[in-house]
Amino acid sequence: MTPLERSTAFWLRAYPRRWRDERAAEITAVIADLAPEDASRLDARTALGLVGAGWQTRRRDRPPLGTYLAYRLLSRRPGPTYAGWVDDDRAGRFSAVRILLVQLLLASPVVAATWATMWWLDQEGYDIVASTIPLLFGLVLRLATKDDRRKERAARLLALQDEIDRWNTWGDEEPAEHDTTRQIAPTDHTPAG
Amino acid sequence: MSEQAYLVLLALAQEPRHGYGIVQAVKEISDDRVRLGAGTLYGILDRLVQAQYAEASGEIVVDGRLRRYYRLTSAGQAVLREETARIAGLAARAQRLLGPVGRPALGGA
Repeated sequence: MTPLERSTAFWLRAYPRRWRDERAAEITAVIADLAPEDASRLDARTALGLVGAGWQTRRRDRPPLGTYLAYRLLSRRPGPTYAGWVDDDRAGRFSAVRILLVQLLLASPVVAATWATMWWLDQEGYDIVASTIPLLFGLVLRLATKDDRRKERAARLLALQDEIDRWNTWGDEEPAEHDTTRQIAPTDHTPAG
Repeated sequence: MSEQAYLVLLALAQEPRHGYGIVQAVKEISDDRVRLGAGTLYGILDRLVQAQYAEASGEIVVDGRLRRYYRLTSAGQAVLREETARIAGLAARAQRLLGPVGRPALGGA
């Protein structure tokens, strides 16, 4: 990889993962063709152009906010149109961080409102009451997604069963005796003494 | 349709081209006025392909660089003709408003 290609790869991270998988080689070639002969990194205009276009590409194929929240919080699949986006989201390096951030963002007004009310009412032990609110919030969420999580577990088990079956048929095709003969064979040909 | 998208369609109307070829052609057609960056070019190409005005038509590797060619679809040709007629109409009306070339229009005399 040339330094220019490395620089291009860095700026291409603005694009969604699957877009890069499909087009990175092509756009890298165009950038190399357009760049001056001795360029070792992208000029500012090209780099900014990639960031802008990359974010536009992301925005174009992202599900709408309602669908996004239903997916993030209630594990509702956003439909076949966004299947690629979902794959990217699950494969992304910061997937867990994203989930945590969205949940914190949504939980914070609930926590803040509870604390404010308790402080305003000037009640004794408001911190204990307030700290149970986010827990309740989480509990409600888990109850709401119970069915989805059960379905997902069932799907995973099925996939595992398929995998086991595949290995089983493999085992049937190659009987155990076959392996032993192959192991013994070389020793037969070694001259004695 | 943006002017840049129109220029890309025009570039593809002549013959199938790869990314770099499109940039060169657009530069020529626009009389050296429009220089597409890679990001802009691929934003436009994505949208044209999505609208089925253009499609990928094979790829080759030259000097280790992947070149994917794009060509206009019949829908793309139709929309290009429509847009050209619209621009021609606009230019004609503009000419009438401005009066004969080289002489400023007389006001209410």
